[in-house]
Amino acid sequence: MKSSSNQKSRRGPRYISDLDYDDNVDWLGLIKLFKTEKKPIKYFLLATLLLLGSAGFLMLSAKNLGALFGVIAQKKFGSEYILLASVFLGAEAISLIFQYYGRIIIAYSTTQVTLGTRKKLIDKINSLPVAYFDSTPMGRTLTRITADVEGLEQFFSGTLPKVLSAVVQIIAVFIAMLLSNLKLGLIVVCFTTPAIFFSVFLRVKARAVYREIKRLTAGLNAKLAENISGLTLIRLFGLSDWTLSEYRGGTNSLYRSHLKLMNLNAFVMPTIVLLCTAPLIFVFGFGGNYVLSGSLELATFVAFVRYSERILSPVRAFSQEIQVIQDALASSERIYHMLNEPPETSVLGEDGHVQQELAGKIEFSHVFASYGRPEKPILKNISFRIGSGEKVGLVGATGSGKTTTISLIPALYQIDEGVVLIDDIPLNHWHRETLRQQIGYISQDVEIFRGSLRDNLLVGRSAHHFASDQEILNVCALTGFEKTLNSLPKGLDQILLDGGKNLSVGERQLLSITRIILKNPKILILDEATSSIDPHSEKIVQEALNTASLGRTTLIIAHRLSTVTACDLILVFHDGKLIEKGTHEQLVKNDGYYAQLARTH
Amino acid sequence: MPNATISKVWPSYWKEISRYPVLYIVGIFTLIMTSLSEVFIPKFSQWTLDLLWGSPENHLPKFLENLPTKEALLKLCFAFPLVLIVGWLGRVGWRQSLARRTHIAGRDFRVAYWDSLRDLRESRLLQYTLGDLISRGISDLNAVRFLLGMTLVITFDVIFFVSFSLFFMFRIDAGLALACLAPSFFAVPLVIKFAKIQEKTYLKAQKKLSFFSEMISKALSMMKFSRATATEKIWSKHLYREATSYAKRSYKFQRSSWKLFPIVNIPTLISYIVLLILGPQRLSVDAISPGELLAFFSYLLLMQTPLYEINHCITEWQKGLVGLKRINEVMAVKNASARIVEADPLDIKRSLRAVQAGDLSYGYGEGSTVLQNLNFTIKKGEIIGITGPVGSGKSTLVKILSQEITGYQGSLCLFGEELSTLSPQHISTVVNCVPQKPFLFAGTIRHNLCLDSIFTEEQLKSILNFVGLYHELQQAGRSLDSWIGEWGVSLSGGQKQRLCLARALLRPKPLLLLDDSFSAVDSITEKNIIERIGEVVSSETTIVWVAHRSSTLKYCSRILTLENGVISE
Repeated sequence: MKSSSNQKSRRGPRYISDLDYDDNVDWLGLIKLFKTEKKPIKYFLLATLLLLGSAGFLMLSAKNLGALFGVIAQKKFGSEYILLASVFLGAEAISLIFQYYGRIIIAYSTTQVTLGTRKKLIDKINSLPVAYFDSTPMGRTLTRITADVEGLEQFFSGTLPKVLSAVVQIIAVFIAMLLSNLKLGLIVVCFTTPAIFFSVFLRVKARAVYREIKRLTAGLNAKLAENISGLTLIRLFGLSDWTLSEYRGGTNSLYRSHLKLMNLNAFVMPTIVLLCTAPLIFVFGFGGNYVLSGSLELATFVAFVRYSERILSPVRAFSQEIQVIQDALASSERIYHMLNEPPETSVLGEDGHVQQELAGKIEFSHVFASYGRPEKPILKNISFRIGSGEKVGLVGATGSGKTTTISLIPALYQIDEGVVLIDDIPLNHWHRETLRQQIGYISQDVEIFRGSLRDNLLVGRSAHHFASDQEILNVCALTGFEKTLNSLPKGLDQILLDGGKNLSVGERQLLSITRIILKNPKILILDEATSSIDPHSEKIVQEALNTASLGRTTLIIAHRLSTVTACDLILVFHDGKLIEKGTHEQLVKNDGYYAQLARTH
Repeated sequence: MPNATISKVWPSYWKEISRYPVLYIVGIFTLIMTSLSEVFIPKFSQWTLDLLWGSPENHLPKFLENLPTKEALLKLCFAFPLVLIVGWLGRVGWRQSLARRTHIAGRDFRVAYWDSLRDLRESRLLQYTLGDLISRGISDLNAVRFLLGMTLVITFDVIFFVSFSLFFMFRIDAGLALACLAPSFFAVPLVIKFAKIQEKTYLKAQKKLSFFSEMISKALSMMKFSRATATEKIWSKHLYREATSYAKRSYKFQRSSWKLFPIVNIPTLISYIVLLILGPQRLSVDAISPGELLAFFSYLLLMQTPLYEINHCITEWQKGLVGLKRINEVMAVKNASARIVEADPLDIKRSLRAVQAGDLSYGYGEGSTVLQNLNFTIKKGEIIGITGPVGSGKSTLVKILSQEITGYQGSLCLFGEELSTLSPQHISTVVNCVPQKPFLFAGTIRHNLCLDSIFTEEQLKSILNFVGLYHELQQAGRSLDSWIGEWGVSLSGGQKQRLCLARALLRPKPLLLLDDSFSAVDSITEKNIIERIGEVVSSETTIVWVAHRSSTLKYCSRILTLENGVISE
């Protein structure tokens, strides 16, 4: 059901607005997303322990290498040497194993968190009020579930493990240094810390440029995609020079931003390397002098050299990943916000309790409805009554209120004033799911899932409602889908491709009609959008539709009058009001708006 | 990708390189500086240790010889910053040269790519899908720009770093170096093999992910229907299944990426063992000093980095070369296009025949005939309808008239001039077309109406009013400056079609082609527009109206029916 949407006008394209996050995002969203996943968080803690252990063993190996050189100095290559050498190798090996499994466990736990988030978002879409989708552009919702979760995933699988092990390693090196020799340790730590702060500080500065680049790149890519899709239009409207100069302008500003970031990086990254390696001078100078004066053992000196070698790569990794963190935080916050959107019950009120089989009587009494803005009603004082099993056509221009009227029957929107009765029971007394399960909907779009034909035909039926093959075949015979079925080599077990690519348009239509009859709804809605199937198939589909509507209250959203002439009742909408109702003959005799339409057709 | 096709790319790669020789020379020179400084750092540890140890002088460099230990240590501490500064300059240097080149390539290729596409006709690009053209212009182009800069950085870094390290290690003790490095040499083919497997797992995971995203977008577009009929749980079930199967693949990929970790680290561990066994022996015969032994430990650790990089390096080269080939392919289409012989500007006033076809035939390839010997005339100012079943050639006829496809047989005159002799520029001043599939730019409604021209507020309002959109938009709380989303996603199909019609009507041209332009517009609105079309187009305008629904054609002065490629009145 298309509805005239009341989307807020948005300045700037989707890709821009989504990259425009505010700077004050914090870790809260991320932690909350993580917190709800109990099992992964345990794994994550285990992995952190493993990484800590790995760093510890690395330091042990460095210390042992120092001790080894102490033994070498005494030219004793006996049992002590072998022991120290074995501990060195053992520590290296254990550190490796811990690191390896730590990383794999992180991968596992973060994959689970991402999957959990995806599932929660899927559930969320199904519990949000339909009105949410009218006020939020579909593109935005789509980015939440796809791009934002992917951003989070990238953070979890790439950035988080890298940053975590970098931080763990830096801390381990510092502790090891301070423990081996406090004085020398303090000197090195004091001179390495500026490098870390410097890297954090300048990276934060680079973030604005980095974001700018992302935004410009996304914009340019979208522009190119658009231009390529619009080649014909561009040629016919003589826009080719215009698009080129527009595109060139875009590439030039991207180039300038790239250079800005490059100039910044060209200064920052070499300086970080310089600052991280510079403390070695103190190891050589002070350490060397301590050794000469006898206050430092040669073994400790060697260990210090080894420790210092382990600082550079974590700091470098840290500074490279730090700017991605902000993106991930923003993504997680947006996801968190969406998960906290008020559910359907908050708009439509608590679910009712009536759970019974429908007869199919529908009554609207002085109904006013709007999409959340009562001062701008979409439906104005609509009243009509439809008996069980009747066939009703709804006629009117786009935006006249046909689809909104139909959308109220399955309780998709709230009613501002008046009452809708289904089988004489007010809508809000109905258990929504029970009601909706007894409504069928056929439109031009037929959704076909990858899976067997049988599964696809039984899509609408509740799980406890078993259907025998014979029952399915009978219905297929009824709708004329039998012919297609017989042509499929595996019959009901034939696997259909996604979107039903191995069926023709007409066959897909017949499938959807067969599916509806198997679901056996009491109210059937036909959104007969313009079909471009050939006249021969159109006739078959029309016959199947007639079969399907037998014994059901059928509402037809008509785009052409010819399809509603045979209806028991025709409702004519204009500007949100129900201006005429009656049979085709009555309306023509009335000589009103409908008659005028009928004449031109 | 077979090597034969990649090898053809080399000349064009070389041509691109030779456009900026200075940047490349500076880049290589500064990369050498960077690698040298990195390789010299373990040397300083070595010398310090040897000084403290009191190792024999022959293990020390010339500038430290014959000095008291303290003085030598001081000298060493002063020399070390020099190494760091060389490294700093080197790192600044390659960024300013090769990273810059990457961005220059990005800018130039982007513009060149669109420049080569913008005047091409659909018929010249038939072998490429839109998605393919877009992905060439985005991801292939990205790989190419890296190939010209950053990929070279990684490559030269690996080459220089490995050569310098090997040089220093072999100078210390060739035999020991060989013994220690043997395991790493064995690791290289393993790393390369791993890269291939890795790529496959990655692609599989990505394929699953894009499938999942596609399904999500379908689920969202069907949201209202599934809610209305309580079938949303079925969607959930399928989406859950896809999400889970992607999560499995993604985990498999991540787990397998970590396999590289042992592949690189285990050889280092073996090297350590070799070093711990052979080291003391070499020390005792004084072939190496303790400092040199320490340097060996450092070099073995440093040699891990290039091993990690090889992988990255290979994939980047592959992606880049294939990308360059794919981009060249598309850019070559334009050069191969025959030049159009341009006729004199059309004298529209003189000719009374808007369109005249004589034995017009067209086929999309060998043996296919879509149109067969069509003969018809459309007079100036006529409103003519063309109808016929699906596949009868209606759209083909429109495409030929708008020069979207070329190469018809027979004759087709537009205001007295043979169509094939007219340039796209002339066509764009004569033919106006509203296609069946509406095309809108991401932007505001105003932007989509104006494009490169300027119209007054009144002109825009009145044309929107004419197509019945103005009131509708106002009702939905939108204005001319409302954003309509990419491809106009926030408008309904009928609204998009009418916006496209409005855009065309703002630009009056002698021939207006309507290719089933109302297929998604409801019949009441359609009627309102058609009845009043005379208010917005001059009586001189010829309208060719192609429609599937014959009801719309009753406003036409004549109707032509196409069936099986043959026309009848």
